[in-house]
Amino acid sequence: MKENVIRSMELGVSLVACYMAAVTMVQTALYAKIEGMVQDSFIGYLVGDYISYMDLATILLALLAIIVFWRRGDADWFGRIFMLNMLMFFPAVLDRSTFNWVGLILDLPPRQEVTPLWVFMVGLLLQVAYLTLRHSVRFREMRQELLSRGAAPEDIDQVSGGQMGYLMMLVAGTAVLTASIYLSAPYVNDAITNLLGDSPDQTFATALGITVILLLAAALIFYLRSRD
Amino acid sequence: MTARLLTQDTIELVVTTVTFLVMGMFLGNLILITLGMAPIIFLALGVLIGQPSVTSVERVGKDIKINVDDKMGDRIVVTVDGGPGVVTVADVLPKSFALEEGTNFKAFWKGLKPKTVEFGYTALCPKRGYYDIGEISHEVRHPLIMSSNQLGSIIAKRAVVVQPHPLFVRKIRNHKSVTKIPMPMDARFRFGIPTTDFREIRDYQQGDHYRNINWKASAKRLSYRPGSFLVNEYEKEGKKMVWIFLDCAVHMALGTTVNNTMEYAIRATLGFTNFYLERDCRVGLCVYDHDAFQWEGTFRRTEKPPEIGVLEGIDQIEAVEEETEVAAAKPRSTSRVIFPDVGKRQQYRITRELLHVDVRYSTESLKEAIHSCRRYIVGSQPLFVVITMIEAAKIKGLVEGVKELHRYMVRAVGRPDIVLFNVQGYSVAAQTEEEKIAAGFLTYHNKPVYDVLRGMGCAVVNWDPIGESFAQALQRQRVAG
Repeated sequence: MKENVIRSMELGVSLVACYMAAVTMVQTALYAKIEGMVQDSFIGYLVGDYISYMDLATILLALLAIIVFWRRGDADWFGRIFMLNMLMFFPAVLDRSTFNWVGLILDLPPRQEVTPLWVFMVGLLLQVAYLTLRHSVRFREMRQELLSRGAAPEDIDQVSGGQMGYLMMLVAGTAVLTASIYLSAPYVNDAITNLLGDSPDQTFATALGITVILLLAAALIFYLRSRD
Repeated sequence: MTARLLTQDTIELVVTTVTFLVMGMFLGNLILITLGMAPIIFLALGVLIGQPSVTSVERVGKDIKINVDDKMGDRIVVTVDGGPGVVTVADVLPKSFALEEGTNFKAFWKGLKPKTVEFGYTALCPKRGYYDIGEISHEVRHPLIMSSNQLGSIIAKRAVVVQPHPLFVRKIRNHKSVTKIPMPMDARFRFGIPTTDFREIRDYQQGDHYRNINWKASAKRLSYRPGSFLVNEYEKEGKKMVWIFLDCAVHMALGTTVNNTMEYAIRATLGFTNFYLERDCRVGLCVYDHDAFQWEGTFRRTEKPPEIGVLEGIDQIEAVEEETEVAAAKPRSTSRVIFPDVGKRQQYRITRELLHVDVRYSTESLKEAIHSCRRYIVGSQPLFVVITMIEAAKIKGLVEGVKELHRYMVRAVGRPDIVLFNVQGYSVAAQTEEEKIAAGFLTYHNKPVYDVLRGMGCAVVNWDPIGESFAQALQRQRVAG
């Protein structure tokens, strides 16, 4: 796989993720509030009826920013792509949160135009984009390194092809597993509730959660320190 | 035991997960909590699938002996097992080798199945030497760089002996100039007592003693082809002796790594060796460092003085100073001498020694080198051939060396016993036209020095390796005087 193919794929993933995040953002309460503020300001007076194009302008602006970030092409700028996407995605998360602290502070009633599944799928897309981009940068760096060490270009293309294929496979597996967890969560919740009775002891549930988290943390620490 | 720790990149994934979990718990959002699990699932899958491991690396081929500017080739077979990932294998070649075809560095992708990869290369060997290509290094990388790269090396020895081309002086075609390459004083003795050193098997000639007939070889030969008998030839004992002194000072490195004055000097050494050995001379070789005359003979105390204790009845007038530690003694000079001998075996010895000769190979000055060989010089009438690069600014060491040589020889009228073979390194180093002109000026600048050395009874033979052959240089010398 040639480097320009990797770059094109990076652009595609970045644009799709950004577009979905922006489209989700323009359907949130926080965005509506900001849009109202703009409409009431002198900008609204200047643009007049064209204020209805603000959604489109916002989406295009975000896409433009993504293209600029993508052109820079290094890990830092790809990190900024993820941050921008998450920034646009966050209002939708707030609308679907049990404790919407921002909404409470700004006195925003939640606007639930997008379904929870939509929000989850967009979030998953952002995660997939994040994982793909951060590794594709590494792959490109490795290409340069191998080239400087004297590897044949066709060998490097073969390595990149294998890496990208493996990445796609792993990202797809991750997406499927994560989606499975999200979709099965209500059923698991029901199963646990049935297992523990209609009103499980809150103290027991909290202790169980903390224990699981501690076990996970311990496993991670042990793994990091492990040596073969 | 190899460390297989997670890389810093993977810590970022963990941090991302924790951030999402904390945010999800803070906002009471199941979506964020679930999304936070994605990086950790990704990490877990990547770590569980693992990375490749190199099971074997083998060379296909044998140790080889080639001449300078010949090509050597090798093939390497790598077998990889384990999970998917990137594998690089490098067969590190000596610096002077130039890759001609193929590659000695292979990068490949190892999929889920075990893989065997074969690659090879052909390299040009432009510099003489003994090269031991010992290790094949390999590097295994996780496909997503989640864990540290695993470096390893496998011993797969391959010796490559690159022999210098000797500059043969078999025949001088121009008959008008009588070949008069200086010979040792005792070279007029054409016949000597045969020694027990076997030299070769040759055809029987009239006058050969029947005891020398090799009956077994003769029978074998006569069984399939009629012809003469074969006789064993043994090395003759003789007093003809030639000492070759080869300079390995820093100025001999003038030129490129591959094409420098030192290389030409070594070829000339082999040429002289070959020439004199073919004429039944005993040839000895001594490698010296021209620059070493600057620090020769310095005395430094190497042992502590004996303790004599307090001398009764003598008052100490001067203040007693604590003796500082004995300074490090001058490093012992390493003598690089091959003592004179005859025959093919001696030629092999000298060739083998010359494979290792490099700049600063010896630490003895010319004077010290002669001193080291004095026991083999005294009592004989040897011919001395000093192969160096004469520089007007650094003649002192050479003059002292020539004076030292005069102590061990008898001057014969009209026949020089010291040949100063001057490899003109400036022309070796010159690349452009301007540099060639400059080289000409520098060579011209040396002319008074040649006169001084000729005045000391030396035959100065100048050789421009770029402009003329070795034989031409010797022939021109004769024509000139």
